[in-house]
Amino acid sequence: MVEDRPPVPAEREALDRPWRIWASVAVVSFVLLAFLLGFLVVPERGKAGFDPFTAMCRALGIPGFGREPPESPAAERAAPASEVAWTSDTRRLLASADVKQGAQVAESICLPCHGMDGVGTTPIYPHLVRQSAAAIFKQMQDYRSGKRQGAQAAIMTAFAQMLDDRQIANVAAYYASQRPSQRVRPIATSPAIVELARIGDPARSLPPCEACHAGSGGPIEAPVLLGQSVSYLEQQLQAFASGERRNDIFARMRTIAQQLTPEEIRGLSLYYSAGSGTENTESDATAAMLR
Amino acid sequence: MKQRAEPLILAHLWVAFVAFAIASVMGAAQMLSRSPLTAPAEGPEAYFISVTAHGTLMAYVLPTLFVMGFGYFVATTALARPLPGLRAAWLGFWLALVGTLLAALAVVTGRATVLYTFYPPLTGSALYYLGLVLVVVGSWIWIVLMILAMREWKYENPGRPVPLAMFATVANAVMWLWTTAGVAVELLFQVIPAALGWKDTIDVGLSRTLFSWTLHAIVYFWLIPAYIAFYTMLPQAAGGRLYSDTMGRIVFILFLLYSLPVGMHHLFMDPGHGTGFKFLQMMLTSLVTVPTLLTIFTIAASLEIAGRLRGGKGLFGWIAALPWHRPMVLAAGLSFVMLGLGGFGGLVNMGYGMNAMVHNTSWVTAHFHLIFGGSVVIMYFAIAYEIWPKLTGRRAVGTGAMRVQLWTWFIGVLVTTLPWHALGLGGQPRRVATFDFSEPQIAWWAPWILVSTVGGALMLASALLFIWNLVGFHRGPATGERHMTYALAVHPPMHLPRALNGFALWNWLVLFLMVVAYGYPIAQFFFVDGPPALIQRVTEAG
Ligand code: HEC
Ligand code: HEC
Ligand code: HEM
Ligand SMILES: [Cu+2]
Repeated sequence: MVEDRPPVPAEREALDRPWRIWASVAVVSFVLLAFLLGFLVVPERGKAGFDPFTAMCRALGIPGFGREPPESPAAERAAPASEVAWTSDTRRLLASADVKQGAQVAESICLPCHGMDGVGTTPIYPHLVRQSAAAIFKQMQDYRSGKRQGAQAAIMTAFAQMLDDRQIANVAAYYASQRPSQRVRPIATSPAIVELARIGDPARSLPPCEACHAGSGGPIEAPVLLGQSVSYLEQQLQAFASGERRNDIFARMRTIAQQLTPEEIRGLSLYYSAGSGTENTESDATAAMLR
Repeated sequence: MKQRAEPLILAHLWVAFVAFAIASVMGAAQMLSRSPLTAPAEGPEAYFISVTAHGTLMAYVLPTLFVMGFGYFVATTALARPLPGLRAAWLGFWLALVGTLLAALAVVTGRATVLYTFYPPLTGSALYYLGLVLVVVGSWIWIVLMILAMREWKYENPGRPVPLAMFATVANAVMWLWTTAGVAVELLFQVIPAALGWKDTIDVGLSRTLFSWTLHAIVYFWLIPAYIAFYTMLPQAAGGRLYSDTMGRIVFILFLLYSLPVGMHHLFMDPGHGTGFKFLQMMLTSLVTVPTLLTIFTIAASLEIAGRLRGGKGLFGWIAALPWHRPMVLAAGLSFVMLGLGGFGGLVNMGYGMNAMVHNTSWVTAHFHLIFGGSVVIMYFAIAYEIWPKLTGRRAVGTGAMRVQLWTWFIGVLVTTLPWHALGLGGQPRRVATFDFSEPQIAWWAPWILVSTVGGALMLASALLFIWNLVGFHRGPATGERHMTYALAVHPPMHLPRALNGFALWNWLVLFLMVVAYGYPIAQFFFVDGPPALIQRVTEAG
């Protein structure tokens, strides 16, 4: 068979060359076309006012090149909500905290109000017992830097300023290591409140409180609400709603609290209080809610 | 042949299919967990162990071991020469098996519930990732052996065209080498150091980008065995010839070229990249329709030849005349139906805007169960039925049970995935263990989920029947017939340009495309500052 014979080198080259050339031309020109469309034609359309260079930088994803983002007066005014950032340094500081030294700090400063076991001595002093070290650490830092304002924050600012970073980490670790003496359950006041806590309200873009406050899964600084006194919870929610307290990163709690009605704030506080701090002053209102 | 390759091939294929059977049981249990019925061991912990194991076994172990085993089969039968480096091949097998067992151990003990996509910053036990690396390294040995086998054959047969089945297998091997580079870099330089606790932050933008490098091409790695069967086995089984050998080669080359520089279509929702490169890769993605359309045309033409040879008349008469009782022909027909439906869904995923709607919903899970679990895996079955007699030298008692198995798989897949698609459009999220059906907004999902759970049970039944059928071969009457015949082309090629008989040119073009498509998107992570993410460990979260 004649055609079975492999071609001689010159024939072979004549067979190969067009493939090499045309395949490369096809691939390269397709890419060029895509670049032209993707970096010039498409990004410029609809984004009125961009010169080609700016449009290209935006398509590349180079931040801040070309035209700067419009100056917003709000952006200038807004200082960061908190100076705490969950960097690896912060995490290392927390991981290396010394519980024994933390206990000494607690004994010498915090004891009269938060107890050695982290149980607030009266309903106006929040419990620290179920909180994570991260939650306590963040709040102490915010009190010290003056970022946490509103309600009774001034009391805490004075104490927090007596401590340095390491002492704060130690005392946070100490309170986080305390175990609560009793299990508490939320008080199911009304179905609407339970739904708000567990399902949220999509119509108002309200996520369920449980998504963040159940003890795991949310932002690591989110405090545990369960067992805190009604008055404290209510005070804090009101402070978030009015904007007096503004140390929540990304305004997570302010956005939520602003949308809650006073009745909901009251109901949610009662729900999470699990009856704590309702003994004397609150009992009438509680009885009214429970009815 | 002095040393036989059959035990090697059977070892690979059995590991693949046992993994498949185990994972099928898990899949059915997951279906139950998500349904209003109660599942054994319900709850998120058990569920995420199960989904991670199911995804890992189905997406990594089954196809990788299957492709390796099938590749060794093609290399020995299509080239009709012994495998170079049988011992190295066994080493690759053991690496892959040990890797699978390590990864499985980490998952079932609850220390690596990171899902098969293992997106950082969530990290699990390093054993899981090491196990995956071992599987990949085992497959790298396979790649080298495939390239060597073709090289040696070409040396012995100068100027002759490499048989199409082998050409396609090497195309897949070369593509797999490019494909695994992304995930290997991610695992070795980012995830494993993180899992071992050497680092406490990780750049998730970079790791997602590297993973996307692998994520699309791996799908074609899974798919190519099915295409090899379409081109080189189906026309033979149907009693005809392949319409065009050249078309086949071009199709496999296009897969090599355009499976890789497109992975960023999985990152349309990621803020870390500008729209320009997303657009470029979206354009390149649209090119994958070309080999698919070429294949539909070529295979339809080949089947028409077969149908007419068998006496089929008229515009569609040839379809009825095809030997549908043969498992290969039946499986291919069913596969095409699922491919058609799935391809339509794929067009939806491909659109920048429509993708936003279905992102992370059950639509996605439904889509890949239809395309991959359906059209691709059914061809794995057909290939197994075709080659098992050659591997064992025995034949099955009959093909009835095989046909039942293929039909139940087909029906099971459709009953599972069609409602699943609808649920995805209705907003059902994927990767969620249980739903509270008393919630009025989602109550309407319940009946649809029940339907798809029934489909899942059918698929499980079919999977078990498949294993039963394979065992049947080993017990069937001995024939001693081990010769494998691949489909001939209508015009078998005599000599080909180098471009259609090797991969040098195409590798240069892949390099060009990858530099263009991924060069800047990867490089930017080294000069545009972004905050690294803190690593979250599965073991810590508990
Ligand atoms: C004089 C009483 C008093 C002392 C002493 C005191 N606290 Fe407080 N603490 C309060 C009050 C009152 C609040 C509520 C402040 C507010 O409304 O913002 C509070 C709030 C806190 C909170 C925020 C709780 C939350 O859930 O957001 C933390 C954390 C805390 N204290 C830690 C400490 C630590 C640690 C010490 C010791 C170093 C300490 N406190 C000493 C009275 C006290
Ligand atoms: C997206 C997550 C998220 C959701 C949802 C959320 N919170 Fe919060 N919440 C936080 C975080 C984070 C903080 C801590 C803010 C800070 O850093 O000071 C917080 C703080 C609070 C505090 C102050 C607690 C203290 O001890 O100082 C109260 C009270 C509170 N949330 C109530 C609620 C209620 C009620 C809901 C549901 C309506 C809710 N939160 C939903 C994240 C959330
Ligand atoms: C008996 C047949 C099968 C059933 C019943 C089944 C069922 C399921 C279910 C319920 C999920 C979880 C969906 C979710 O949580 O969102 C799932 C995930 C998955 N399945 Fe299957 N499946 C089957 C077969 C297959 C096959 C054949 C493949 C591929 C070869 C496959 C690959 C996958 C993958 C990759 C995932 C994703 C896991 C993840 O999201 O992390 N499955 N399957
Ligand atoms: Cu893809």
